[in-house]
Amino acid sequence: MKARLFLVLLLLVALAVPSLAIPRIHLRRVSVGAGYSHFSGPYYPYYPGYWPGYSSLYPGSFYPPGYWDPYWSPYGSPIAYTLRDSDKGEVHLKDAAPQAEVYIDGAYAGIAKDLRTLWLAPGAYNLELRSGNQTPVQKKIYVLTGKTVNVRMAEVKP
Amino acid sequence: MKRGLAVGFAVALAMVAFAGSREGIAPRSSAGDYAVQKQSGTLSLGVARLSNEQVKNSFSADVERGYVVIEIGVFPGEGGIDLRRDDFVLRGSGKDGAYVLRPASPQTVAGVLQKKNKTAGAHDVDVYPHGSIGYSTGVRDPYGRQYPGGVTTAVGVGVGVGNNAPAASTDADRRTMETELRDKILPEGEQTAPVAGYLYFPIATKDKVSYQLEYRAPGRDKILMPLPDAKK
Repeated sequence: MKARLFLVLLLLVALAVPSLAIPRIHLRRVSVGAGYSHFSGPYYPYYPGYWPGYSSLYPGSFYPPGYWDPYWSPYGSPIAYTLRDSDKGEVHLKDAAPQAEVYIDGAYAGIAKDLRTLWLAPGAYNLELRSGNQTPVQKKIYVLTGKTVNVRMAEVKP
Repeated sequence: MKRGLAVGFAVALAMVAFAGSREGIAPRSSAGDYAVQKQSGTLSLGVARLSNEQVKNSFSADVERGYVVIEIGVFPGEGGIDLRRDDFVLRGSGKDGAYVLRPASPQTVAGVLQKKNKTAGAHDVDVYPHGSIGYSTGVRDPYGRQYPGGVTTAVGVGVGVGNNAPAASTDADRRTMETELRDKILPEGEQTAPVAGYLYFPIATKDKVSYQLEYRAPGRDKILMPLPDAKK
């Protein structure tokens, strides 16, 4: 009986192992922001321990001092600046001259000092830097979702 | 006149098509600049096995996770050469025996890497930190008393498990990987000038393996090049 139970457990473990792969932790989207919130009722922000308020959970009732309204939450952030986008790849222009003009697939994208970090959809792009009277330098870059490409234009021959 | 224009247009189109399909990387100045070099008649071959670090720096995709990457420089000399990637074979010998590996196509490598990335991310945990700063103008209670507001701050973290899109796992990623691998692969066909490029061989075992690259083309002597271990 014990041997049979052991075999059943062994079978269950063997079946479960493929789905128990060790997970990795990814830091995905980081957002910071500032916002303005306006209260129009019917309930009020709660000052812990001192203020009775009206709860939408129990309509018509006032909750006693010290009661924590489960619906109260920190203010949201209507404006968020996304530092990382999960469906794009990151491109770092490592050594471009600050005033160099950046062209992506022949289209002007801006100057290098404003484009140290670019987020692009997965694909192959022709990156070109034009700086003053110097010969433009070109490099083909390959962008993958969630990956970072470090571009060092000094390694590229004009 | 019209005929001349048409011919010119056709030549321009052919040049554009040729430029678009150009494969390979810039060859080094001579075969002697590679880690291993061999000469047979007028043909010189230079070969180097890329370390994992070099592969990471050379490709957007994690090619080192499943493939040995060999850089090959071909210096045809007089007479040229009809270069075929299948004429190269990687011979490996480890504690489990000997392996004979043929180069994988960019399509195959990209497909395998995409599949590996998808599997790797199936159980991953995504963390979404959040921070906000706000200003409250204060509130008025039901009895008409005004309460002061002030600066409010909030921090939070969201956690997502499973069903996420791991890095380099979409179809667009696969196509991009394939494009990059094809752009950098050793070119095929008639070559009269030096050419260079990479070949991708699947890793047969995780154990330590000694590799030799063999070049055997019809009508030519076999060239065997032992590859020193790549630096970590």
